[in-house]
Amino acid sequence: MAGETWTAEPALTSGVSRSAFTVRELDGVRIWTVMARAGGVAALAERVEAEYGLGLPDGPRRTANEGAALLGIGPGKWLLVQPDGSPPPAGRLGGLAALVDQTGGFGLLELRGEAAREALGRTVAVDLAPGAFPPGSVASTLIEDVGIVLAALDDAAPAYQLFVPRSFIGSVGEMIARWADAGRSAGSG
Amino acid sequence: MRIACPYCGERDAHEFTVRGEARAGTLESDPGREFARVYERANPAGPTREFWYHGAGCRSWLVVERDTRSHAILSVAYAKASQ
Amino acid sequence: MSLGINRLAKGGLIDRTKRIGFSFDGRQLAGYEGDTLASALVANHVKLVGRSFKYHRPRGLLGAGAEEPNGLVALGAGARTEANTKATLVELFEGLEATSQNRFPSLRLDLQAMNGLLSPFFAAGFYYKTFMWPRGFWERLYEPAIRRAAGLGRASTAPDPDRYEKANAFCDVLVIGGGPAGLIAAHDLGRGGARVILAEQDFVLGGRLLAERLTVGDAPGAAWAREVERELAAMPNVTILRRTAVFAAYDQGGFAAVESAAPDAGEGVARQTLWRIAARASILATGAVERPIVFGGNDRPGVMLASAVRSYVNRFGATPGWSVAILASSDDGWSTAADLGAAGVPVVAVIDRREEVGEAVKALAPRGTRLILGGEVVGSQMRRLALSAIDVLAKDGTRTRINADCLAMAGGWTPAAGLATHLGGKMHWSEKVGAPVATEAAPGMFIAGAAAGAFALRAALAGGAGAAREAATLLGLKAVAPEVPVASDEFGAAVPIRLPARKSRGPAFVDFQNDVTAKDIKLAVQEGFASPEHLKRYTTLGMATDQGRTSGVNGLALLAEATGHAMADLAPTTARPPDSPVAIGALAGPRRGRAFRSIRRISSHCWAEENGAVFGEAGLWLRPRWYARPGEADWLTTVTREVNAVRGAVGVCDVSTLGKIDVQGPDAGAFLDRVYVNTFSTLPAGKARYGVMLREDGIVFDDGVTARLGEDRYLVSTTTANAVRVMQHLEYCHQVLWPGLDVQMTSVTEAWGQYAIAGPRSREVAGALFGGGLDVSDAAFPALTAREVDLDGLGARLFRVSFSGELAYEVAVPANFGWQLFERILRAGEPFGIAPYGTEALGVLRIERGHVAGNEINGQTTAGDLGLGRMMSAKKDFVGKTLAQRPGLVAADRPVLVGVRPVEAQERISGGAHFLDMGARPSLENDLGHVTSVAFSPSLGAWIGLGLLRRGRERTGETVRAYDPVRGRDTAVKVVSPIFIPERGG
Repeated sequence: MAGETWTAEPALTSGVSRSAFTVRELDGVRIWTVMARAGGVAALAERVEAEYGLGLPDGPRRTANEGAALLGIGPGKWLLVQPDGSPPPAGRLGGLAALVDQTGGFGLLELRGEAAREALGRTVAVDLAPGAFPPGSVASTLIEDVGIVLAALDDAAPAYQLFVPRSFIGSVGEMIARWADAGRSAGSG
Repeated sequence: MRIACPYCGERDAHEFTVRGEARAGTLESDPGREFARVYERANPAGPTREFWYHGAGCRSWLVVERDTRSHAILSVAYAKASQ
Repeated sequence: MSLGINRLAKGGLIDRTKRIGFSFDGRQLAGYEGDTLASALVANHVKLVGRSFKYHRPRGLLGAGAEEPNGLVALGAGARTEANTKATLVELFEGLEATSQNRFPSLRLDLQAMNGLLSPFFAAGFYYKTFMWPRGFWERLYEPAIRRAAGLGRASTAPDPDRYEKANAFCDVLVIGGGPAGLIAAHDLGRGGARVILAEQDFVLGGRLLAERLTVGDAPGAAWAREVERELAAMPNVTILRRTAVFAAYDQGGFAAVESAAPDAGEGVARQTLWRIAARASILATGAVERPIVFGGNDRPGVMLASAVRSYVNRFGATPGWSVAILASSDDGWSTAADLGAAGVPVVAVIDRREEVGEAVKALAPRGTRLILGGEVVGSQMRRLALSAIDVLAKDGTRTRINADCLAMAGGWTPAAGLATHLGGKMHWSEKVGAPVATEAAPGMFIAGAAAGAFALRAALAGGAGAAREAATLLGLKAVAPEVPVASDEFGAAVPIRLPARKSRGPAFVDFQNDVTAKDIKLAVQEGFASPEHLKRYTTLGMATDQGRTSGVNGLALLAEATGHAMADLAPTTARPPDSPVAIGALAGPRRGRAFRSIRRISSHCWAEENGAVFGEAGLWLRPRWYARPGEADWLTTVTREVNAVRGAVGVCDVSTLGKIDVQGPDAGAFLDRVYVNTFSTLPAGKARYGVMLREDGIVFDDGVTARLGEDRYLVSTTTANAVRVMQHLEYCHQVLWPGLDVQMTSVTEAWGQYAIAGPRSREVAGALFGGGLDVSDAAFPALTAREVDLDGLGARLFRVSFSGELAYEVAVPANFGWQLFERILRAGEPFGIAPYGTEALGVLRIERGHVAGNEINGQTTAGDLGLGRMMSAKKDFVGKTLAQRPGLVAADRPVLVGVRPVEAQERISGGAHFLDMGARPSLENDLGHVTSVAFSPSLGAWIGLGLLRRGRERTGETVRAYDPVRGRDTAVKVVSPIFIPERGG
């Protein structure tokens, strides 16, 4: 046992690659839930600005730079996403917030393309029209019966990140395959 | 039915669960008062305040003021803030 | 293949270059692209399309749209059979196969037409008066006979091979109906930049414009509609959904609609899509439905609505007959004469029930047409199962028989505003419109056009533009309103006479689909069913698939006459969703079969699959129940082996599904003290403790082992089944009950893969797993220790907790390394004979130990009942404490947790068996409780059980019965301690 190495296992074990839109699982990132201590949001925001150079979103929005991304998922709650190997947040935000490592708990998917936006838009019960869900928007919501976090990335073309609870990733993969198939044979009046 | 979560915005009712009429207060050690807090409800024909949980969204507990006759939603606020 | 002897040489919006072959009742026929099945049947001179529901009378098409009550056919064959489809709504496609329904052996010769002779017995309410006696005959004779005779079509019982989908859509304004009012509204709003969804049930936009010869501006109505559609299609903010019926209006602007695929869509396209639309405002422009006229014999094949005749002639280029008579009650019916004349179809007579008719209106009839003013049709004649003549009563009392093969009835219009009343809005009789109109629609809904009672085209266009303006104002948007185009005005606005014809002979039908006649309504009133609601239910008027579209108002008029009430005093029945039929497949969408619910898989799922695991569902999770090895006879053998492995050596079980909640903050300990019955603020860091939570009403909610990982950090664990509910409960306690506490919580169930290593040799396995990296000896890692540890460079957690009573450790790593850990544990344990075990073995082990689980924590038991009463702290408040002291919950005779063993060693006990005293008669009064859990204990070599028995603790050593009449077991059992196996090294 000693001396053996660990290899992080991707959540999406069956590749979902269809021509209509691209889906890939992001690896090499770590994800934390960040929850501000009572009355501590302002102080946390200041520290986040100082440590990460990012604004702390005060609603369902995403701020990001090369070093990190923060997504507002509820009052006083955020997801923090950092590349593997970055200094852990405990050292930087310690004392001001509860930090819980959730990396193992998510499969993080990225979907790109107009067809992806259309497919997501039909399935998610949130208005994803560019005017209603512009880049930088975040929604904690359901895809069918799976609770996910959805973020619209700041890209020229439509691009979305989907934080899927790990145990559900097989079912979500099947959903995405179904959308891709539907998209390919689309042609309703 | 659509409920305007103060954090997430307007969402379909299936993202929420309802607990029931909102009663102020916390645990009571007097049996009569605790019974009233846990069980008794006014159940008016008209505006009523209810606890709703946005379980499929931001997980906030909310106080929703709703008219039981017309189903119109009059206000939605965080349960936490309204203490 | 004939082109149809009733097809007009020219005219219609069909594409005469595209011929389409189809069959009806086995006959090969042809039509054109743009035809409906109904119009193609009309063109092919098919008069007979079905037999009526009760009396099996021969029937032809009455209408041309969704109001059709007679033309119900079965489409397709085999698994794709669609019964009770309205031929008027079916888009003709190549190879369509349709069959008529409700007839045996054939449409022309139907044996059940005999029912017509028995019609006096089949009058309204006969369901309530017959088949009552003898009582025994109901199940054996009457019900099977009725079942065979009942219904219209026959559904397929094969699984539905088609795909269905669900989709969400959002818009500023949902425009329901693509006729003139809807088109102009969508156009105005779209040009103003609003997000518009326009939903039209038909496969072509235009509504009545397609059926009438009207002009808008200087263009024919249908051409104007095409032009508007072209402009709408070019607007990126407008979505047009054709073949889409909006069937429900919900609160706060929610709508549901069903979109059908085009008939030539490929195999992979979803047959139907259920749209859930969220609209900030809506415009209801769903048009109006024409009423038939009630007279004796008004249901013969060939008697049709005048608007339907115009539709077949003008839109489809097909005439329903070659000697057409018209029965009008307003100016509106006369345009039929003009349209028929223009198409070269002979009009034999126009009978108007009014005595005075304007000259301009009379001029609409072709020159030389016989005009009878102040006349009534009082009867009809049939030859070869189709209309051959009508009997007319003139105002001077003379009767004349006029030969006609088609009678066009114009009985006035009823707004089709059902959706307006889905949210409690009411319809009220309007004298001005001569029909019920919706006075209060849903909030944000504007009614326009014929749906609002504005039957004339000019008024409809103005109404649509007006509604667009109102919707735009409501939403703070722009509605660009060009001038409402000048439209040809038609003579549609006058209010028709409502009273049904007197002195007519033969059954006068009101509801054609359910065979309800004017006489039935009189009978119902005589018997006291005199309100619209009672009338409907007693006679079944308006309860068929056409939902009273053609029968509702005529029924009310007859009711008014019979009761002496005014129409304004009678409230029409309330319309409720769905406004039109919705296939169950559409409601299910893609969620069927294996895709019914999403599945949650554990990290070791693939390994389990490859190694003989038989899975069971635990909520959404799939968990291995056992791991079968080749050659094992049955599940009992496998599970027994697994239990023996754990008790004798060591086993490993994936326990990742149990809920895990991270609770942090300065007040975390105080928070948990208020949530659990016992104390956690005193738990030292690095230790774990078993805790029990109550509901607010004092009943046990959940249990689990909670660990303190640091000064301000706890890890709460819950049962698998309650993980989500406990999280919701903790959030409730924090946000609602004690918002002042500084505590933060989040679920980490997904984040960790956790495995229990249990058995006398588990320490050796744990030691091997950690190498020299961690001292897992009893001294260094005593019972209930909980620590964050390093496992070969990976941050892990190790707990010494036991569910089985054996020495045991639980190891957790981040879930994305879970599978690897599982494999490592198996390798580390191989020298010690490690075996994986599943939930069945887990269950046996915990029952042997007397641990309570979901069967005992069943929502009715208190901590005291389960033997956990002493855990309840007297020194602090906690959820449920107060109400748990209620006299009923602390009564001495409550059923409490006991163990039971059969007196005869090899006998089985049933789970769910009820306890009775020996010799007591089985009854509710003598019921003493029930068996909650059973298992075969390999260690004891016998079946054992846990149960809840009244005064159980006082009865230890006594014998009682475990009575199970369902499975035929009646076992004498001895009451024992629930702890069958003592704790060993846990």
